[in-house]
Amino acid sequence: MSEVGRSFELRAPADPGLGVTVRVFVTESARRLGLGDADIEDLRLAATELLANAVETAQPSIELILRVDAGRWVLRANGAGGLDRGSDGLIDRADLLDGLADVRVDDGIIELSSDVTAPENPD
Amino acid sequence: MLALGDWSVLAVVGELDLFSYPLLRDRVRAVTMPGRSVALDLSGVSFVDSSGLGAVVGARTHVRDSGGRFAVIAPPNSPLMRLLSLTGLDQVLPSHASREELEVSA
Repeated sequence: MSEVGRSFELRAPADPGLGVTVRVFVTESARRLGLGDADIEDLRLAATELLANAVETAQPSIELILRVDAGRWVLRANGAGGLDRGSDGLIDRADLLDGLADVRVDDGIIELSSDVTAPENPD
Repeated sequence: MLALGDWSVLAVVGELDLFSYPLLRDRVRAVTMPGRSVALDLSGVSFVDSSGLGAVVGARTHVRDSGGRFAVIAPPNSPLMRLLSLTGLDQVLPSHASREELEVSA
């Protein structure tokens, strides 16, 4: 994990055993970026789904980059693979990600962004 | 596994993701008995992704195919309930907030 400006990056093999690693990465990065628990929960799920997508589409590795820009968090995944829309399975990952954030897919890059949620109990 | 009236309650603890979901799937298959109802107590689950939710839905199918009823136990605002509402599966999976609530319903 490294900090570049006000963004954090993690590069990891697309290995199903690394879910804990990507969740620790987004949790710690998000805290340092000042995000609250609600956003962190969304990011933990989003990062795990991006890893799962990379695994299922047989990518060798995934790079996750988290930043906060103009009041929005942005989680960008390079090497996450394509996002299958309208799958006939019971749980559609594209729908799930749509429920978490705005989703942009571009040539092996999946970028999720959402307004930063104000903490419920600021102190 | 705990017996609670007509129900066998299987407690799951930890993080349920693309790595750990096969453990849940295999455990449910191992403990399901014909005609016996199974409740998965997911109160101790701190994280669930779509793979984990898939295993929960798969457990429901397996138990029902064996002739039992199926339910999940998870408090409101838990990771599971949040994922159920995100995916619309809260309409599909019968859920109870606690074991006490399951007993009352049984």
